Amino acid sequence: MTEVLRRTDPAGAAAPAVAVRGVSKRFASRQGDVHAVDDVSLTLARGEFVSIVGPSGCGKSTLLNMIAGLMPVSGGAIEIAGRPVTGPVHELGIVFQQHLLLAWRTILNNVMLQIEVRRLDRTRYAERAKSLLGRVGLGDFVDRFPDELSGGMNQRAAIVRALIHDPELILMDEPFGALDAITRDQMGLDFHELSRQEGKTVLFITHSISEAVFLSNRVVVMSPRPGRIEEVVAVELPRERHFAIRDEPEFARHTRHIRQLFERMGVLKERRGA
Amino acid sequence: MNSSPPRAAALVDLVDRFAVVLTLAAVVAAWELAVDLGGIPRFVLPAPSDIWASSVAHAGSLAAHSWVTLLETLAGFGVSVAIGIPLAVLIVYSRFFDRVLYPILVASQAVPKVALAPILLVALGYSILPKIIVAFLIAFFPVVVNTVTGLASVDRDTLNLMRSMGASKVDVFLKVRFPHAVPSMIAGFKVAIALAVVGAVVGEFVGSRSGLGYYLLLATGNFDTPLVFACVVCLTLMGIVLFYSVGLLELALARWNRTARRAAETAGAFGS
Repeated sequence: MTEVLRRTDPAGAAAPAVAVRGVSKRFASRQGDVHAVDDVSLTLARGEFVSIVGPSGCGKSTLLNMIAGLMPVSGGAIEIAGRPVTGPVHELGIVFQQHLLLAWRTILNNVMLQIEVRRLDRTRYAERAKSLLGRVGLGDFVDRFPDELSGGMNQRAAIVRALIHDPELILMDEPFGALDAITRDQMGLDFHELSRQEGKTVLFITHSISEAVFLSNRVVVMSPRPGRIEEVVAVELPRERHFAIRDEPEFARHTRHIRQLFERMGVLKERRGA
Repeated sequence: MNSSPPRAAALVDLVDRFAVVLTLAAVVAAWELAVDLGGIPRFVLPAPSDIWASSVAHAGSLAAHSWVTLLETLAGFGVSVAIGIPLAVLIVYSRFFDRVLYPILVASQAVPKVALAPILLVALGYSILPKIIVAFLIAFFPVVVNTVTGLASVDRDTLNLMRSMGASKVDVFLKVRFPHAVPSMIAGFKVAIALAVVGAVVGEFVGSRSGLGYYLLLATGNFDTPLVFACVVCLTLMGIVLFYSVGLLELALARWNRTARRAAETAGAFGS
């Protein structure tokens, strides 16, 4: 295995958290060659919260997997904190759409899996795990099993698992996609707060325009396959987010702008003659 | 007990709880009556009371032969697990085992293993060994297949998550694949233990000087049908006890293995 934990790195201090340069991805599939991602370039500064929105199948998850080093690129290059990505990147936390908690471990032990696998100090991190679980409202549920909790609670635990080892970068692949709308809003706000307080760089994939605008500093709008960056929208809203922001004209202006981009790409269509 | 449930309801509850026992008792009673009133010859179908009397009369021999068959069964099952699980791990982790050996193994199941018993007898004689081998040959396939299925059914995102944490193959195996496979493995054990009994008895049929299979043939030769039935009852009881023992193993594992617990809850701890 080539996976060796890389920790210290003086060169990376000034480098952007994520640098994607001209990355593309082609798959060989039964239907022939699939061009999933085409010439994507994107840079995330440290502490930034960037969302990628796009229709299903636009390659946004593929892009995230390539950034995490879980899938090789077909062209271009990716750097995390100045280091080229050649295999799975360990200096990050990932949250997927499914919580992926292990059914036979308690909530606390699921979070501690990250620590066990990384061979970090268990006693020290157990305290941090409990405190983080407390902050996401799971303080009373640390010894419960995933099948005893709701989907939203399990996803909170999955987020804590991604944060426990204190990575600088968090990758999220439609993390709230499986939750109901109300839980989803609350989770978004809570996670936004948590990531801001902890000073994390976040790359957040979603297919919800309003979720993207609500959470992000910048929203990357992707086109249908082959996935390209159509536009990067800077969200000019205060750093601290409240639900009330959604009623602001600024918020509506951003969501309208992104929706119009999708209309222009033919992803969203107005009903004719209605 | 409090007095709140009416008597009728309590009676229904009692009947519910002992429904299995009551049904069995009714069947045994009907059998007894049919044999007594129908004048069926004892050497064709003995009455339950005859079987009971024969069991009591031959209790010592039955116990001794049961012990032999039990040892053969447990040894055959033990070897199935000891070989089946490592083989399953190899199939999941090695391309050669997966692509070449596994298909051969699956195809080999078409071989009637019972038919191999005489060959084993010729090769290994009247010892306990050929019985253990027949029991193993029949029992090990469900162990392998269920373990392979369990180990291989971990979803890709979970494996990706482990990779991103920098997990070694050993970590992935010990922390994810193996515990994930436990419920499926135990389901395989349940099938295997029942088949191991069959294997041991077939091995004894072909050639032996002890064991319930041997004793059963001996009783058949003497037209001692009640004793034949007594042997069958012993084998049945042994099968039930062994099957339930695997169920107990499942419950014990369920204390630390949440997946096993859930499987136990949905399937019924002792299977059904």
